[in-house]
Amino acid sequence: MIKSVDQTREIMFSFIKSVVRQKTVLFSSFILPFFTLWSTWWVTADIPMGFRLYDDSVLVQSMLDIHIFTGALTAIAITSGILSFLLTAANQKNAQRLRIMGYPQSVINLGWFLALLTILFLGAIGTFLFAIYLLWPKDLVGVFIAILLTTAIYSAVGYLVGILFPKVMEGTLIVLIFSFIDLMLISNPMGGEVYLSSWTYYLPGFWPTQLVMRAGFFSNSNYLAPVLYSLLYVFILLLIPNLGKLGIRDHLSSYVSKVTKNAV
Amino acid sequence: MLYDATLLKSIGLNFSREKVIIGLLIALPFVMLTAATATMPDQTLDIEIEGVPITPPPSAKSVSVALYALTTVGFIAALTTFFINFHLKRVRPRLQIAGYSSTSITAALIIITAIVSAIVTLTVLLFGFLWFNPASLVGYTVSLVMGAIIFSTIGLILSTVLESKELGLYVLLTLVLLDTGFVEHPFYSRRWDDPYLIILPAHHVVRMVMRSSFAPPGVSPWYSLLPFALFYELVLIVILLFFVKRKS
Repeated sequence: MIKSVDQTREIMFSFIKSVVRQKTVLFSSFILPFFTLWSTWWVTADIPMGFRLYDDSVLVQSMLDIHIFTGALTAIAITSGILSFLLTAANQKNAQRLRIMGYPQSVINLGWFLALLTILFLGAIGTFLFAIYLLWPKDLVGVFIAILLTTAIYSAVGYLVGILFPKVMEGTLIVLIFSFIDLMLISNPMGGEVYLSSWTYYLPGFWPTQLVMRAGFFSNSNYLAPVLYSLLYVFILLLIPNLGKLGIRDHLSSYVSKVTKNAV
Repeated sequence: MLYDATLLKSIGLNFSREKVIIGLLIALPFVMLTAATATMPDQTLDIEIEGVPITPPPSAKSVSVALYALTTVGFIAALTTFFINFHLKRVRPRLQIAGYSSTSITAALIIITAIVSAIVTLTVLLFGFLWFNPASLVGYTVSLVMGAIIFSTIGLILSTVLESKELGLYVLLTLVLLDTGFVEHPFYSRRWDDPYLIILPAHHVVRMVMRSSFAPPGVSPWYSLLPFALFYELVLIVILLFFVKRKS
């Protein structure tokens, strides 16, 4: 156990060092979210709109104010998703070398994901500071948690796509379009008819968006459901690429063959 | 010789092996346009062009489909060109050793880009018809093709200038998405018609899309903006040639 923790820490720091050397990290972690959020704020129309939240509370607010918070989530989601995808896809060879050196796959994956989160955490803080500079929320902590949750979820989304499908152009497009459609169009209160449809609860951006709306414009936020569901989402996304390593697939196939044999 | 069929065929074959990209060419328009309609409220938009309100006011859905079609075309055209040219950078010296001139390689690249742009525009148009019919089909098609050409050229410039594939991707994606999907979208943006947005690549194309889609009476027709879009493209080509010359 202690050995695994040491190995994870070792891998995490070595990954951080190698990632920080890349110029794209600087651009994507700090400039991209700043630019996305700024342009969202700069252009959004200042017209009032009314909508419901999942807990049936009703909010009437300017579209401009709403877009500052949802824009912050979109900015950090696009950044985390794409950066996580690109770095994970590029890191496949390093991971292979580490496996040959005897590091367990789960330790490599965890170390890598923690390294990514550490870097993106700085981006999330920057995004948070810029968002609250543009509009001071009712509940500061809630907005910060929502931004962190989005960072974690979309890092996991990028990580999953990077492991399952490490092709740069296609993967980037998938992550970008998915994060944009999720946070800017469907989970967003701007999402017209589909907003709050039951299936949208399963989208990665749903709970952070609900939390950021609540925290942005109400002083009494309920963190429990958004935090729990979001962490569950991250956990599931991280688990999928490791299913093979846990032997679940093998267990499943042996179970199926046993059942088939008994039936025969 | 400027045109070389063997070269064009080999680069084209190389591209056609990318099954996922071809799948994306078909799937992305459907995803983007479905999202554009599903997420827009059932209401009309009061939009003014040159100070003249569009009558009858168009639905938010049709405005969104019209513009997201441009976003989709821009995305795919820019990224495809960027990637083809970026990968070609490594292959180019080998092709030159094999006897192909730099001009014929660039010509093959431009032809493939044009074919991809045409396929994407056609797919987007077909999906777009599910939700709205532009007032001028010719104008709308020309606007989308013009958008594809402009963003393809930007893809070519970035793939020539940048050494980092990731950085190029970020710049392209951010530019296309923010320009066509947000800053110049009349529903989201309060500044969509500001004159200083002229520096953005889709500025004239967005206006051509709006005029050809909704053809408001009393407003200059879509083709009056075509020379401006072509001039923008010309400037981009000059920039491209400058960098190509500097790099070679």
